[in-house]
Amino acid sequence: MTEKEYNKCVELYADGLFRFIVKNLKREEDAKDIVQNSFEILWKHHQELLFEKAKAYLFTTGYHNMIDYLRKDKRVSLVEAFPENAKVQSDISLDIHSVIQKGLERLSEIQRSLLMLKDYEGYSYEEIAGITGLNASQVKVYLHRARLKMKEYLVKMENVL
Amino acid sequence: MMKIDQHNYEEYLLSYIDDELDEADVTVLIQFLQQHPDKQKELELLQLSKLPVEKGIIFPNKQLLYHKENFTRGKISFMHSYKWIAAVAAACIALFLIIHPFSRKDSGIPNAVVANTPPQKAIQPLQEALQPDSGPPIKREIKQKGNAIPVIAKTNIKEDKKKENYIERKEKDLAAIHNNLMAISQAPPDIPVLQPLNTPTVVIQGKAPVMVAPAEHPEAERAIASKVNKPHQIALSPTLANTVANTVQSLAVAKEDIDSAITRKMTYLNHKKAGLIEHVAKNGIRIGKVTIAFNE
Repeated sequence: MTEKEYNKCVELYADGLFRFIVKNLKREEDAKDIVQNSFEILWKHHQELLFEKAKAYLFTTGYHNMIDYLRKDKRVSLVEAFPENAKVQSDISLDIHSVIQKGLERLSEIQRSLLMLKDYEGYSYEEIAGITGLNASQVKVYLHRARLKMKEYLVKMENVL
Repeated sequence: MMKIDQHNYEEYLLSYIDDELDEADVTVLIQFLQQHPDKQKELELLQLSKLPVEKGIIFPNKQLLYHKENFTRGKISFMHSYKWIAAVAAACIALFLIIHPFSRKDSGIPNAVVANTPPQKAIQPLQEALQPDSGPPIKREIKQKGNAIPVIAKTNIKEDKKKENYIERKEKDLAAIHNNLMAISQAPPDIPVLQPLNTPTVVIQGKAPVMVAPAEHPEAERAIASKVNKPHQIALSPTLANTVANTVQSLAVAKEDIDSAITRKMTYLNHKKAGLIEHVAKNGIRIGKVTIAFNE
């Protein structure tokens, strides 16, 4: 891949990769770091990579980087001492966008990632398998379970609203 | 795929939403839905799980990711041209030493040093040399290759065949010497005037002393080479000078790129820090299922 093609990748895929990461991770600054790291790694290997493979390479790198962040998150312990001026927030937004977001949060990390790779990026089962390290059958099963779970939640919310 | 029935239709619906059915399967599915309208409602509900397009999310620091397309090439060509320049410079210096003239303007070294050659080999100053042993001088200009050296000699207006022949002989001698010399030009001021070994030294009166080295004189060349230790004072060919200029340019560009990258990284980090502080102030910190917000 030439430098020109690398720059084309920035133009074509930076937004999509960022969207995929930030929607999963929900932390904009970390998502920016992951996107930047992914492109740094792509640049490092750009000479031995084909342009056609670059998108999958970027998403694979970004996905695994994101998983590392999520795993680190789970090790963060709850801080017991609250600041004096702290308060607990509990606001529920009722618009459909928020409902979908809440539904997504109920999915497992892998289900959420698969759903986003499918719906945002339009990847096939095979391509998603390549990015996540699963096989195509597993991708299909996880995705179908994710959709059923989403459907159940959305139907329930529709009844509540 | 197998035939669609009440037990496996859901998989078909989900694969349809995932856009993984081929044309034949889609046709079969449509027929099935036409026969079972209640399943159509189920398809609509499942379609809710399809995430809406979110075009509003864009990566804000895209300019940090781009690479200048000629930057790496510049670095590579610099590395290559560095070696190439070294080789060409060495060749040029050698060439310079072999064929380039060495001369010197008066820089404090007395003419006596230049004239200090074996008496039997010394050439008299041109004016003297061209002057006949006797008789009145004539005014004459001796042409040399590329240089016109005005030489004034006094002679009688009356033509004297013998004296003219004598002058012609002197001219021939001078031409012979000239042919044996390299071109004459200015040498760097700190290169000392060398004494050519067993070769003639010409001193032109009224001008700066000119040291001349004989052609193909290895000892003189070695002597000169041993004195040349300031390569920046050696004239470069236009091509080489251009290459050196390009290299300097490449270095400047490379430095500029590095400086710019550092600045951009610093800007990004500051931006990130500011963004993080703002984000925490606005949204609080989420730890597990608890969000801690801060009063402004």
